[in-house]
Amino acid sequence: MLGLISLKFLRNNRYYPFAMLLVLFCGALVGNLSAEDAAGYQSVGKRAGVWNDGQAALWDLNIIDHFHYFGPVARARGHKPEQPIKFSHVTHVQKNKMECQFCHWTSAKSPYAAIPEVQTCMGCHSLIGGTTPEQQGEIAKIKDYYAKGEPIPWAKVHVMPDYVKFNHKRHVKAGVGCQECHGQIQEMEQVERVSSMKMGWCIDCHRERGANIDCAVCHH
Amino acid sequence: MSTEVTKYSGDVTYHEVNETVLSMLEKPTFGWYVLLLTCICTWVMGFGCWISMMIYGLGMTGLSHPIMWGVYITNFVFWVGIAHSGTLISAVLYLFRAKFRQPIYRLAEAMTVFAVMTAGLFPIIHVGRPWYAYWLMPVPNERALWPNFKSPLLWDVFAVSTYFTVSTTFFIVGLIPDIASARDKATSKFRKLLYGITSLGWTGNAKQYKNYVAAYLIFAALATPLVVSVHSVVSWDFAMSIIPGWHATIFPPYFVAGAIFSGVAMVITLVIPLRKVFKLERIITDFHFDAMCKLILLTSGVVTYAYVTEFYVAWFSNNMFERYQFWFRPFGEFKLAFWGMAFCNCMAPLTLWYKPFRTNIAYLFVMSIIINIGMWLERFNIIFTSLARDFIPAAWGGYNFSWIDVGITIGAFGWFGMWMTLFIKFFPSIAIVEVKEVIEAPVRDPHSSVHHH
Amino acid sequence: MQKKSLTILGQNENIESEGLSRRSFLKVLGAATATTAVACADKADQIIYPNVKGDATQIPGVPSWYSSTCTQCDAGCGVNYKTYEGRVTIVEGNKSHPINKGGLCAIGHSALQDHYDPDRVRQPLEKDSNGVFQPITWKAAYTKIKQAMVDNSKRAFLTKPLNGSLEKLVAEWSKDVGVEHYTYEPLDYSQLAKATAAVYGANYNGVPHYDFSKAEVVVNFGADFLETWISPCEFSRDWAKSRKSKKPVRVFQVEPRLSLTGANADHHLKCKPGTELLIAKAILKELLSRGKNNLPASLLGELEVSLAGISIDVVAKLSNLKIEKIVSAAQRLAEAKTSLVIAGGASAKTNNEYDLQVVCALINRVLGNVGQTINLDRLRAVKSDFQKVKSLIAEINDNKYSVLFVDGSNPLFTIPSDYKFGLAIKKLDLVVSFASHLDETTKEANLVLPASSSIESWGDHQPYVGVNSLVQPAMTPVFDTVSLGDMLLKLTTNEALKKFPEFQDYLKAQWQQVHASAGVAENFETFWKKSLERGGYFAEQKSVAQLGALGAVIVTAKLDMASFDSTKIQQKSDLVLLPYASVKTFDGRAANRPWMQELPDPITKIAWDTWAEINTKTAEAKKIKTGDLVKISNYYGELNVPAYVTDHVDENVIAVPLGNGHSDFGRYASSVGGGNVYNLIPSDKADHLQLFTAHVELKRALGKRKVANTQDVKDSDKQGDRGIARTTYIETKVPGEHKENHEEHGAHHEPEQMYIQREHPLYQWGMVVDLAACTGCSACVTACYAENNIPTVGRKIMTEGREMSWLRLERYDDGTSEDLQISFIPAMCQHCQNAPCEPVCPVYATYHNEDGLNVMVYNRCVGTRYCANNCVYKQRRFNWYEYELPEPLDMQLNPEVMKRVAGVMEKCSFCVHRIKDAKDHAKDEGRLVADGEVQPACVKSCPTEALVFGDLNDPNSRVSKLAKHERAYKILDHHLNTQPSVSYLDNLKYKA
Repeated sequence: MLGLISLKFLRNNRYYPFAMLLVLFCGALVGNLSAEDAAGYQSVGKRAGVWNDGQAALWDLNIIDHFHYFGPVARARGHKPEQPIKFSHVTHVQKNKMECQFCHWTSAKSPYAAIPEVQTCMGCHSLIGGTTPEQQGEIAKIKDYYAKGEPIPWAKVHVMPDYVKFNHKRHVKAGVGCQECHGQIQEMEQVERVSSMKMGWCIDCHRERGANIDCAVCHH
Repeated sequence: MSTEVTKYSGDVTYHEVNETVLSMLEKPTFGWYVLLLTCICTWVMGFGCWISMMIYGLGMTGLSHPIMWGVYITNFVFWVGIAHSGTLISAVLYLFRAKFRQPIYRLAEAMTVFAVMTAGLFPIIHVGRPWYAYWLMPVPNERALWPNFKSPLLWDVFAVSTYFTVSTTFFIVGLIPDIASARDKATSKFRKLLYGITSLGWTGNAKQYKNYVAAYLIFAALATPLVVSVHSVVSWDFAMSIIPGWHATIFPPYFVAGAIFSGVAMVITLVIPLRKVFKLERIITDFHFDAMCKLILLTSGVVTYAYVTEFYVAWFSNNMFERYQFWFRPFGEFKLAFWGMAFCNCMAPLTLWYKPFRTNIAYLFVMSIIINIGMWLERFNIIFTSLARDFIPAAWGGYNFSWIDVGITIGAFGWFGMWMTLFIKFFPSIAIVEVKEVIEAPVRDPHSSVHHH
Repeated sequence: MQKKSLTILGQNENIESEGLSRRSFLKVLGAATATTAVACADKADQIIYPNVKGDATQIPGVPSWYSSTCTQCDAGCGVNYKTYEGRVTIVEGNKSHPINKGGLCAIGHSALQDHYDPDRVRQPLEKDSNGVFQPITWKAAYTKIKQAMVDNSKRAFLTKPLNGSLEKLVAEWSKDVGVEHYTYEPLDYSQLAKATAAVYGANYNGVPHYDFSKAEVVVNFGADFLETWISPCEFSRDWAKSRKSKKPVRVFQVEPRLSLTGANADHHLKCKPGTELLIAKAILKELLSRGKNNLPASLLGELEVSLAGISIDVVAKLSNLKIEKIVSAAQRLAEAKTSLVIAGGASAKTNNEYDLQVVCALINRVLGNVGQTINLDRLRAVKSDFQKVKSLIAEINDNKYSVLFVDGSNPLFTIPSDYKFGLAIKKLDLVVSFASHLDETTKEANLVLPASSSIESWGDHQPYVGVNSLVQPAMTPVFDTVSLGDMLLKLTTNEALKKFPEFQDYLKAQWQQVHASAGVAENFETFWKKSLERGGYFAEQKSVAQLGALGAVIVTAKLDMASFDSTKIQQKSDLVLLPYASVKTFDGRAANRPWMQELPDPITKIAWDTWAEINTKTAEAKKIKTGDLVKISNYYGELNVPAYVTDHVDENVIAVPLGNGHSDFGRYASSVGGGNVYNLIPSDKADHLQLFTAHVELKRALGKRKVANTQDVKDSDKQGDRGIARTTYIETKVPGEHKENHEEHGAHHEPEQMYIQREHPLYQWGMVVDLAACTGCSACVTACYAENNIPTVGRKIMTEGREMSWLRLERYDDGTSEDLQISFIPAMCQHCQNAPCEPVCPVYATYHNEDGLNVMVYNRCVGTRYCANNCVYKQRRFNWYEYELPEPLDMQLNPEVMKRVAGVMEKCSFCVHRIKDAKDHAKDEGRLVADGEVQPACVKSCPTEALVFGDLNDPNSRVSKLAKHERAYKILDHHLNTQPSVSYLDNLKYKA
């Protein structure tokens, strides 16, 4: 029986909350977040506001957020996957002063801010070979991806569950800065998820800016 | 006076009460173990059904469009109903000083607590995503979402949980003195410890006793309104909706009466075997059964009246949907359920007007079970038939029989039975103190060598 | 998701290797597929595959549209494909196309599931010595064929009727490689064409164009013009245009079985099978006697003589109709300024169909309908030639042929076994199939070269003069397939053809002529591009046909009693099998599409099954009840199907829908047993397939079958006085109905409201459904499945009443077979302003938003199911299970709508994602959403524009005007004050 349950749970994330509750009900209280953890969780993204004026902190930080330790890591704050190519935003944005939308050109055109095409990379890197041998190595990778006509399998950092229909275009057009959700991305050698991107966090900002908080805006 | 007193319970002495009641706590017999094991197996089986249902989806049940509520809600209402009479007998009758309650109320209270524990399972079993059932609790959360306080289901959550808390406390308070006397008699280390802790240092001195009585009175007063409120709220799950057959103002009183009806019947069902096994004939006498039967007669009458009213209102309202619904109940797909209900709840109890039946234990046992079946069918009737035929004919549908439903329903009885079985072995299931209140106080007799407490 | 994008990648590689480089910008799916292609549970770590090459026209997440032509039947409706990152997610009607003008039938929508069919042939196959198909490369396949072509044995190419450039190419190709081309389709219009030529002149050998919008009276002998006949979308639209008008068209339907068209007719004349001809003659005679003699005098005399034998009372007796019914039909025709008399459909396919068609044509000519409602300049050519096909079969049986090419039309299934095609095909040395499925025919082939679906290939279609419709690929092939045109070009030896590397080039060459004939200023390339955007080139052309001499008619058409009763029914016990084309499976081509199988048949409400409609009396005699298995058999074969007992079919007729009973085709088709109906039809000398000639025995077989019927509960098809689907009877003030209708109209009295009403600051979305225009064709249902990722649950779960359809097409049948009162009503979530479902949800998973929508938040739903109980309209569907789609059917899923998990409630959302999208665009342009800018899938699909959607806040919007229409009402509103956002307009019918 238990075998069955656990099997199902491991197979399908949908059951993690239940597994978690089961654990709690069994009385085995999975370790509470330490104070500084909690603080870290609260200062999400640029805005160091505690969600919903902190009323949520107690409950959610201790129970809901724990699912991340059971559930999909990709949904947790601090998700920092290895990328096939060591792309550095520091080099591109800070050193070379490139505009975000130069590469992420669909971010203001489409609900999805797509990753640039391999062609876009080649636009520069057919000429720029990189200075350090490490860079040259990485750029070489791009070149042979392009040569093979294969896409670069980037690991996704900001994973949204399927039931959230996030419209990137609208946010950019509303003048929401990249950093407000993606953090100080220009300082990241390897991109990390700094926002929990949980609903409360979204609502918080929507309320503050008087944006629409109708459920159907994101869930349909 | 003395004759008057002895009427309430057989002419037993203080000593005898102690002996008989505490003897129930002695080393379990083989039979007890068999019973316990059966119960456990049953509910484990039920639990298995639930798990498989969660893994493969609710399609495992017989539910379908448009019958979205079925056996689980039926069971929920049934068990909440059972839970009623406990508090009624212990609290309301206590306030009314109805003396026939003494020997049976402890059992009734135990039944209440365990029945609520059973009922509480069903909403969780019933929902599509039980792992999110906690969203019904008004806990602050990062979504900044609160439950919908307009929803009768939410009222249910509050009503049932309140009822559970209060009745449990009431139950425990009532237990204290008897646990103490059990403690004094206890021999095994484990029991010494158990009773030692649970009797909260009861010595039975006057001061304690005074506080105890006061506390008991307060809790009785607290519990009394709940007896009415809980099942009224449960009935609102239906009455607040718009479905013909549900949307009726008569539901709250109708449900409360029904609940007491089934509750008392359940008490009888439990008391009779207990009395037989533990030889309590002298404590629980015909008089008590007779009294309970009268209660049954009353509530049966109320329930029957409610049925009739429903039909009358359906006709009088001249509302085609209501009329169709109440034509459908006796003559439609589920007519067996209806006529079964009518027989069990309206006709069969009428025999109790005849005194010899009221005191014939075997007959009562059968009758009590009939009534419980009847009350289950009543809920089945309300839920299934109303949903099966409402406003849009094209959407009408039936119910697919499913073993999962049956398994979980039976499992619930196992769960309930397990707690009862454990209880009667570990705690005095008859209130020693209160029984003593109503039997003749022993005359100090220098020749007598018997020493009382 | 990862896997999905990779499949496409793989496909593209293959196509590269085949040198088909077009749409290479779709080479790799964009990031959006990886990130947002639907998934139920969110995967832990996902991978983004960016495009390799950029293309400014292809923004990931922004859909792109391609106009094309529907090739499901020969009607030639224009369609638009909506694609996300190279996946077509929905097909919709093309507004600017002259044939369908925006609507599309259910089968048209289901084309997607044919395209993404998991049972499609995924690469070329060759049958090895053990008769097992083994994959081979295209090159190998081509060489094998070329080898077979060298010797000078006879070769044949059997196809369905082809059209446009492909037809031309096939002709040229056949000529140069020495192949005889044969065309076959079971439900052809050859008799209609012949009759037209005979009556209107030899140069009009084809199917004329009928205009139902202009006719005042239509007398229809079994033609199911609202379902599958010739061009259903076009006809439905015209019909509805007139039904909505001040003076609706009055339709008399004469047929032995109630068809969907018959259910929509004002007068249904349920005649004895085969007696349509007699009735037609009686009407003709009646008309002549009423002085309708718009004919050369010489012919009139002849006609009168030959019609002398017809006496209306005898006809009435034989056809089992009341005399006055026939007379009234004739009278209405005589009185009407314009009218139309047509015959067709399965019930006309007897051995006197030609005579019937001739008489109808005569009546039309007598009434002077030509040029009014009949346009002879817009002839549809009839290509299928059954005579030739029969001779082909005979010759093959005499071993005259060695090689046979067949396309995907599956002739082995549709040619009755008695014609011995099954034997013939085994005698051939080489059978090459271009089919995309391993169906009955393909199973017999030695080589299978899977052809691309019409969504993946180029082509064009000329239904009739002036309409040049283009077929263009909307995505790269799902599997390793090549379009038929490209294959032929690969196989040709002809230098003239060799110079076209691809069929696209050939097509363009053909279109040079279209460009020339169009006589437009712009050069070819711009013309071509514009045509692609438009979906084709559509010329206006008006000229009144000159009617030819009428000589041959009288001789050819046997106008006396002699030709009575083709089906030779002597006594009551004789039973004739009527295999009819249903809107679900048509002639069998749509049988492997879960959407079509799950779609309840409009008349019987049966899904996932085939059935036999048996008259109540006949059934009683045989002790058969609905659901019992019956054995329908004759010398040629047998069917074992569940019975559906009804009054709406003649006592001598057993009606069985065509299309099911496949032995091989795919998992869905073969899951529905029953047996192939075609096989019961005996062979005969006729030059067309006479479907309606099989005499059968009916026996009650052992056992019952729980049929998946969405309305099988007792009395669930009787609405009584509940006033759900209402009808206003024209000309007759039936006290009850008419009065009631008017006092109950929600629009007429706004009830006093006790509570504070909801505010809708900006929009209040609402819908109006005009029942007078709704035919019950169920296109909306299928469109909804496609748009909202609604799972098909399959037969078993459907028998448990757990279908997931968000849009239920309710059918009520309150009358008797004598006086029909059948009403259809498409019922979706009514988005009530006082929604009973909202207050009862304990977690706010369903609530009312500012736009007046009743929103359902799936991911908040706990699944208490209280909302569904409390929904008055029973429009909520619960996910009892989680339903998986076999790859690649899941490629069709719409990324805009989340796929629901088990244990949550779902329902119609008024396509809230489309509303959101429209608002998004409006916001970009800094304006409000315009009227008609948002159209939910059902509204868009409706061929008759019966559904109208818009903003009720805007007093000038179409929807708010219609909501105040005098026929407007809201279901149950006057009982429950739910204040639905959906208004219905009464159906309109003529009583007498």
